[in-house]
Amino acid sequence: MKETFTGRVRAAAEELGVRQKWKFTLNQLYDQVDVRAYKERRQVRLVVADLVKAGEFERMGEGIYSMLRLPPGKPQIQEVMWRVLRARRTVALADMEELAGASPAYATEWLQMLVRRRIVRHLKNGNWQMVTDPGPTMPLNDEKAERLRNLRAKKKEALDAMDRAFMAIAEARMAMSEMIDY
Amino acid sequence: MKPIEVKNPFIRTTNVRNLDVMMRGLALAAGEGRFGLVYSESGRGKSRAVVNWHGTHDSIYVRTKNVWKTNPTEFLGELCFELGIRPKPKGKVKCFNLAVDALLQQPRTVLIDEIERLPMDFLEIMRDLTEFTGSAVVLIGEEELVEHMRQNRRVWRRTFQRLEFKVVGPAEIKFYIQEATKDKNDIGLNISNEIASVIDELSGGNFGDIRVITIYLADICNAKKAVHITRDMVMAANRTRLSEKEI
Repeated sequence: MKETFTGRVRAAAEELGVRQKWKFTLNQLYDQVDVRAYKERRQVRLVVADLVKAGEFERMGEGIYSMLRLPPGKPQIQEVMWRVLRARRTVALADMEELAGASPAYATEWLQMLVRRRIVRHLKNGNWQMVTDPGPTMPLNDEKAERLRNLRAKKKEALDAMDRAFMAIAEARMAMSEMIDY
Repeated sequence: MKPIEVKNPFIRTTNVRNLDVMMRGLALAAGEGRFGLVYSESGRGKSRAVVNWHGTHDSIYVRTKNVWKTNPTEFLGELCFELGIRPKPKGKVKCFNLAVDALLQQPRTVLIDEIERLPMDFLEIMRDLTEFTGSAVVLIGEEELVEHMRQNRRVWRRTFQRLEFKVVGPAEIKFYIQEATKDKNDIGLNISNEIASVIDELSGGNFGDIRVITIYLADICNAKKAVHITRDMVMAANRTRLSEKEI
């Protein structure tokens, strides 16, 4: 999976935090993230500001921050489904609905992804059985993430094209009005 | 009237709430190395409640297998696998040491289901595990597990929390039926206390049977386009359940 810039900053802060009782300076963070250019450092500062707003970091003084060790949050539904599936080995959609709080449509989509990866098979009675256990680390639904990424890129492209078209129309209108004036 | 659909909600019964309280109690004693004990006769939803808890908490769940009876290596190997240790180590000492290291690095509650099937020696392994790591170990099993543990005085002394899963009562049945039949406007079937007592009597407090009766009750309501449950409707639903069982 592609690592986000925020993820890099968070990991660097965590590493510094473990060594320095959860306190670090911005300069230490730049070195840890390995950024040199002004533009990149500015990006780090913006991420830190966002994390302060989100309550993950705390500003202790000028350029000094501390990482708040928050208790682990509520796991994602797919993570809960993964744990339930591993514990029970054979599940029905009703189990996912009851034990993981997933909607039947979401649970089906997620289980189908596991079927494509040959981790789960769909039984004739409608249940889903785990056939290979890759361990406690949950397989990520990369296909869906990729699909959503492509969709977002296409949407952006379409919006850009529309902007260009509107600009062209506006320019044409201007030209037309100028022609009429002459 | 829209047809009633029966969903499958996870109901926080008294047992489930007690389990949460027990787990919170164990978390307060983190680092001390304690045992938790969840027991009852089968069919009262112990494993379901524990799996639900495991789903939402970072913990280790191991369901015992009968083939582990003779040798603890396989059990310890499985524990290592669940702890994310790759490749699976060979030899019980190595397995144990690596499991201890993993739990020391990242303390988590260890849940062991159907432990009563394994010999007493396994309880000693658990005791070492909880003593060396400080992580809580929760043992889940049927009633004989209590005797099993009581025989081992050192294990019994370390058992900090004990929880027996009891049968569900009329109030919980009433709540379950309402939750399971809720529509988009959050309105579910509302049954009287008397009807809930009848269902309780017919099902013996068994959750599986209560669910089946609820499904048949919803079918009857849909057929009759009724929203008020009567005693006759419950009896009819129960008759269908029993006839299905016979088939």
